[in-house]
Amino acid sequence: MIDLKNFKSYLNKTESPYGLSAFRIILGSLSFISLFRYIYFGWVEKFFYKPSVHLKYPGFSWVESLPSPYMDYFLYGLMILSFLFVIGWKYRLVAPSLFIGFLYVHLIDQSLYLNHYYLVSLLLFIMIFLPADAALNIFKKNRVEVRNWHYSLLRFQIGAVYFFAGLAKLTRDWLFEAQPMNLWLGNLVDMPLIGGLLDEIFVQYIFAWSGFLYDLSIPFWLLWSRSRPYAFCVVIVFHTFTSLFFPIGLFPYIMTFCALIFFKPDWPLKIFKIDNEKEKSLKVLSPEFKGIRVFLVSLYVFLQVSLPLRHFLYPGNVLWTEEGMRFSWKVMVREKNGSVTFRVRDSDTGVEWFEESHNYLEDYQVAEMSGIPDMILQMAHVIGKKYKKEGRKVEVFVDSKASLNGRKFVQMIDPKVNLLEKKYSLKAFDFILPEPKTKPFKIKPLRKGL
Amino acid sequence: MKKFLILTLVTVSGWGALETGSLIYNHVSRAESASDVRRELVVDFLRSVVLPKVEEFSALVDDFDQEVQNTCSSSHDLFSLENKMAEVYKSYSFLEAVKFGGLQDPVRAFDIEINPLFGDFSSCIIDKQVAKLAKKPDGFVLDTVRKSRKGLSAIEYLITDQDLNHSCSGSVPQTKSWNEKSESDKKKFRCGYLKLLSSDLKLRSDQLRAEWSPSQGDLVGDIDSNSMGNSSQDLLNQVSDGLYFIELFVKDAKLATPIGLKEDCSGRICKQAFERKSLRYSMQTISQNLNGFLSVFIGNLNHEGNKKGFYSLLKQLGREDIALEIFENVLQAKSAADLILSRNLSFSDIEAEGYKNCRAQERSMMCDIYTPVNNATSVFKTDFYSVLNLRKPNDAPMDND
Repeated sequence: MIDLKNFKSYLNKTESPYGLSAFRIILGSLSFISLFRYIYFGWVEKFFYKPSVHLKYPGFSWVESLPSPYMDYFLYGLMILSFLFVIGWKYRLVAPSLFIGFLYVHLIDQSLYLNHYYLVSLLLFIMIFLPADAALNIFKKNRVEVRNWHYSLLRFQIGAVYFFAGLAKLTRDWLFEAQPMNLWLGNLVDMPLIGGLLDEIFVQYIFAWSGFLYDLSIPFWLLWSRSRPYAFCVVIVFHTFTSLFFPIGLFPYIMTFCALIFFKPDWPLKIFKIDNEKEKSLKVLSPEFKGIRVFLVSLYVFLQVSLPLRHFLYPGNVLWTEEGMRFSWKVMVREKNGSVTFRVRDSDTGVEWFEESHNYLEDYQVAEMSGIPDMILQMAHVIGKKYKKEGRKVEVFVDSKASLNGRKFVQMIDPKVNLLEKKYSLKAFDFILPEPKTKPFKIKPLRKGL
Repeated sequence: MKKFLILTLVTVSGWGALETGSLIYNHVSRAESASDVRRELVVDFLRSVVLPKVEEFSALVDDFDQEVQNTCSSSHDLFSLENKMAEVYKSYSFLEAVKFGGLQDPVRAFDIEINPLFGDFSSCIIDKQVAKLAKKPDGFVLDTVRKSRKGLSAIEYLITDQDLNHSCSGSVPQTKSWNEKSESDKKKFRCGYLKLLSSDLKLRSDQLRAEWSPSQGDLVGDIDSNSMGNSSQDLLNQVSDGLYFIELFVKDAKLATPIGLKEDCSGRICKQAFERKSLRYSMQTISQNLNGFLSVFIGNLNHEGNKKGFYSLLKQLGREDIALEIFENVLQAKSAADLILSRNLSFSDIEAEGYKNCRAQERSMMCDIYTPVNNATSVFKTDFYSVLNLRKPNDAPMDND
């Protein structure tokens, strides 16, 4: 365990570079697979070429997708960079290029936001500053001894995902209503062998509580050397189940492989029986954890702790208002479905008409936007801009209904508010109506013989 | 003592193994049971609602095609085919709202092939095809003609448009010398194109029938025996994808646009945006679309062993309120459409009533259809999707965390 009194000397302690380099290979491979999936499944066309409008991240409205076929070429380029990252060639150049490229792809449209792509982006960012090319690299003759802070920073990042995902489950819905687990598992009756158990309410409570306890505590069990092997087995079992139950793609694999960073840094030597004797004579020390490094790492850690907690600064339930929802590891904590119709009024004539989101957005963008107020606001401005270009003065209102975790749907946004008068800012939105206070409905188990 | 301990251990282990086995068996059976409930519901709906409708549609198309061939070999009086055509359209309108299998397949795009309403339909391009056929009767191949120039809408135009002259010579030069032809020639060539369209429609309806027929493709049998490997959740998703037709086409295209709720005709009634050339047929298709939608929730009440559609499933899940809310609203909308039908009104009656904002207290006849449909689709897109954990059509086919 970490001796807090000598925390700094602990962070500066030299360590085997093999664990870090193995992490480089893992992360590069996951990045490669993520990008390959865009090409393989035809998502480049669907997500980048086809949409006429991209819903932007605040502050990144200038990020545009490349026209066809350049986005394909760009993704192929990123796949090559991922491969170079894996083999460790020109690491100092490849690592930042891959990070910027990966980030660019995922900044184009916020309806494509996924926690695990955000995580991969953060890890690629951290890796820019770490000597992860020190070992398992045929292009490097001198083996660099890395330091404990390199591992600690990555462990912090992976641990933060789990811990804040656990904290996000500390809600009445999750713990005392087993929602949305009841809706998800109750409809998974096709699952072989255990399908019949999944619509039992006690099983749904077991899943909800185990998920909560797992997320909250697993980083600590992985940190403790005595519990680590068992904890890693639990990680494997947990993520195998989540990948079977839920359509969360690469997330379980990313979390399982990334958990290897918690093992002793020389684990690859032991597993793959690599002879390290010769290499010891060539060792070079990496820089110590002091000065500007302490400041930058502390700033990063502060940001990573603040972002998931920022929703406490906003009134209301974050799952309803979505203020502080993104970049905060609120992974799979809500089932929300919305219905949105925009109403445009010509300010001069008073004539009103409906504007269909489908005229601007693809189906998946509409589905994502329908439950998220800041995306609805952005869409209202897209509509407003269209009419402004035509020289018309209009007001845009929205009829927005949403159901949260199985509750009956209610109005989410005040239909009397002209959204063109509202701008995105870090302040709380005043046009979001209060969340439903009722208890969520639970679906009952099905029995044969309707 | 040792023997006693061993005996106790063996007994307890045996009992434990039996209990565990029985527990697993019970839950495996329960899994099958719950999964079966959903599959049975879909199979029952397809067998008791969609299959008979597919058969009815195909039979009506056969009948219509026969009538076209007869009429075109004798009088060339296409107007006499109107009633048969209306029956075909009516039957298809029901199927539009319950798309499943080939009716839904975007690759085969069966619906677009036979109903290009929301494509780029224009009477001039139909005239152009007729003129082309007149010029080269032997070299004309319908397969190379674009979808928007054939199908039900093209058939409707040829049958109901009584003006045999073409007025598109400016934009479509091929029709230039058409008006110089004799009336009998004009009728003959229109009939010729109609015969091709009708045979094409029959070909597609035969494909549809073959896919569904228990003696041929047996789509329902395959789903029932799970030979296609779809989970029951996949099947529910396919049914709910079909229901989205009400949201996108009935609510937005067939209702909101012509009654001035959308930008295209904002603040005015525009009859050119109605689906059909007469209000009666427009209302009939809407009424049948709503009828199809209702059938998903209540099944076919005249059918033996009917499982009452999604109503039964939602009731068993404890959320029959969702089914009832959708049901009541759609029924209300259908009644409003049927009322217009029964009063034999025309577009001018709707125009005379004027544009009404459907949120206002004083509602128009068309708002009486639109508003409850809007209410029903709100429940459909929110509560219905949440409770059954369905994915919306064309939702991002990527991960969801």
